[in-house]
Amino acid sequence: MLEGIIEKSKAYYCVECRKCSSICPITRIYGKFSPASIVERSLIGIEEEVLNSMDIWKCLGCGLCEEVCPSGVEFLHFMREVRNGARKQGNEGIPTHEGVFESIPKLMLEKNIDMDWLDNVETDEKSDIIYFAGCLPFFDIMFKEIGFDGKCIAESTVKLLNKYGVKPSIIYGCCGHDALWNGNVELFNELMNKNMQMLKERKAKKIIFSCPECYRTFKMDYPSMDVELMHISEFLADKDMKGGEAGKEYTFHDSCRLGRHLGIYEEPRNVLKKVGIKVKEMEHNKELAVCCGTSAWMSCDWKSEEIRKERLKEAKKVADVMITSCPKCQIHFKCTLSHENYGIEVKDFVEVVAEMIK
Amino acid sequence: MKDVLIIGGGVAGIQAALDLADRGIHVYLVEKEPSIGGRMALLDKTMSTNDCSICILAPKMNECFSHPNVDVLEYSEVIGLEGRAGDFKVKVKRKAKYVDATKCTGCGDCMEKCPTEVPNEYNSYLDKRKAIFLPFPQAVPRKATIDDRYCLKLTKNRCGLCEKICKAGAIDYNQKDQIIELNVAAIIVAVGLSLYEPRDLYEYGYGKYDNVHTWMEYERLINAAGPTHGHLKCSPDGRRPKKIAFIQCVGSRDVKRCPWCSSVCCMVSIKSAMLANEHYNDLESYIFYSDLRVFSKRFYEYSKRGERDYKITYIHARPGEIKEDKRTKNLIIYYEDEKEGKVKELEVEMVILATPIMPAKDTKKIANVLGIETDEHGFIKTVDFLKYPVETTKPGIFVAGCCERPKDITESVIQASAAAAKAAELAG
Repeated sequence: MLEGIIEKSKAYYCVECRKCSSICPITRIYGKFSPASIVERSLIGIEEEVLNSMDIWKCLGCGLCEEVCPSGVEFLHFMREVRNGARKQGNEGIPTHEGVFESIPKLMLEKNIDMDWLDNVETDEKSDIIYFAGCLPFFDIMFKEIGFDGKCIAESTVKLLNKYGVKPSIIYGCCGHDALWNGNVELFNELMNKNMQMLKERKAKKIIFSCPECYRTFKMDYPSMDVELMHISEFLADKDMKGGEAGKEYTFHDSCRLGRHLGIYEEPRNVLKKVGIKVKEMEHNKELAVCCGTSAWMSCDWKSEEIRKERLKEAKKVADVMITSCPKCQIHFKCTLSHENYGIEVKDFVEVVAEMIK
Repeated sequence: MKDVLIIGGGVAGIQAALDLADRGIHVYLVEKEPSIGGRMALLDKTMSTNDCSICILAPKMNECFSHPNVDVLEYSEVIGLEGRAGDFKVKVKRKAKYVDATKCTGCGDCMEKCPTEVPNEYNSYLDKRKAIFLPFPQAVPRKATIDDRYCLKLTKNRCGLCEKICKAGAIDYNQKDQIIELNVAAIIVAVGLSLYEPRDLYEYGYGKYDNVHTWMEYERLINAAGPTHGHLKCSPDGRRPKKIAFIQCVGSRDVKRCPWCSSVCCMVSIKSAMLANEHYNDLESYIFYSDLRVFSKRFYEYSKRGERDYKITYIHARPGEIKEDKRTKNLIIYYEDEKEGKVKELEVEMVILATPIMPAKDTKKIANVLGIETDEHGFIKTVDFLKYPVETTKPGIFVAGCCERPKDITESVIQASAAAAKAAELAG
């Protein structure tokens, strides 16, 4: 079963140099998980051991391994396929939050989310420019207690679009990212088909995302559509804007999806600069930025917490506010900050830009 | 007897020139730099024998330059080619040196007085040289050259100090580039190599961390004629290192960069580690390798000798990341120990990156001028790797040295002699 996966992900080219494992944030604190070992074990054909292993659920999909791999092994692709194989054998990993985030997408399949959620913004449901707001309404309810404000992210995004003359139509819903990364290809396909159908009905010409995961999934995992896809930072990149005095020191946490997966590093920094924020870089930034510690609501445990703490300390060394464009990064960091004080705030990219812009 | 043209005055070009000249064939040796010698002239020691590189090469450089059958055309470039094997017409541009070579004695007074300091490419940009310069102390010919990109007189019509100071009256600011035409029966291309700049391997911090160097920089650092006169020094306080790490395959055997094996780096790093230990006998070295490729005669024994006598430890791993201690500027290397199955840290004072041999910068340009093909990586292509290893895709044009593929000095010299023998058939 793994043979096809090995072929497709170029795992055959692994030279066992173990560079991936020595940069993997999980391996560094938990040596039993090692990308190199997983690939090696698959290559020598210990198939059952790999598929039954709980280790395969520890991967963050952060892509640091791919960034440094000299052989071009697509480990993330490999991992997704392995998880799909494992799931078929009944190895489903340990989802966080009692699996509620596996159930929500399933519910979304049943019913469209049609709601008038945002205040003081202009939208036009007939517009062929779509703002795909993703799961923000659910996250907003789930994580209010740790200070996550999903509504603010959606409102800020639309406010910024309005400022430059765009009245978007809004879609709330699951892009299928988590299902895909957890090997649930069947659920992913259903969500994808539903989304594609909806976009067709709305005659979408352009889709704007504030969530890097949705953007990555549409751009890299959906079949190509005749629709322009862009992140809000790309939309804002060429706009004239004015800001004010920052007053605080800010740093930017590159989320794995927007950074390494999509290669967008400069746009958010340039936009922040235009509104008056000169980003102070952390020790690990851009291509080498470290993950927030959890992905796709899977296997969040002490290791995730450890990675987050390190990241927050790194941020505190250079700034008072950590900006990220990914709502999940923000949730994960705020979770840690809810019980430990690092003297640093975490804010979303659009939230900061909307506050600063004049 | 007809003439032969050799393009490139490194060890391969020099060897081919001497072979041909000794059998009575007249050779033009075109070199783009102001001195012949090429890469080998900049190396400290040769690997597997640990001989002084320039001590081996300098006599050959001088023999070549003073040989009655060799015309060295230094500071020159081939810019045009017509004709065919047995009867090539070649256009060569002789760049203006602004110094009359018949008068210059190479005394160095001008270089002392010249006020313009410029990045020194011959020391891997680790220090500065003057705008009027000799590339290195053993330069052949030992004649000064004015770099017209920087000289104040030539760029802004100011200064003129060198003209005032030169007792021989050799300075001539009005010199112009000259185009000359040569008629040759055969051509040997030996234009050499460039080295990968590992700036895009962010995980190793080259260009960001003071104590991370490439192997070529290290050759200059440990060389008595280099910027530190052969003393290894670490930032920030100039202390000498007690632990050095060498990382192999930095940019090579890498599908995103140079997919080929550079073939010499494993031996070069072992040699470098030995030299460091010879300088300071308590110094320890760590060589991080993917596969230790020590394949030629006595190479394996050499690697074992390194382990036994020179405090070298070989570690099978490509490190994933290097971090810098902000205070001491020491470097912490992260690598996975495959036996223990966990990520370990190693703190060292200096890291040397084994960056691969690539085609020289203008290889494509010269190939276009000559009408010969390059391979998928930009090296000069041979007709058949096994049967015709020195024949390029155009009859009458032969190839030698690293411009064909990465190789060591011995192999370059072998190929150069082979190319010379082939060229002699056409000249003779």
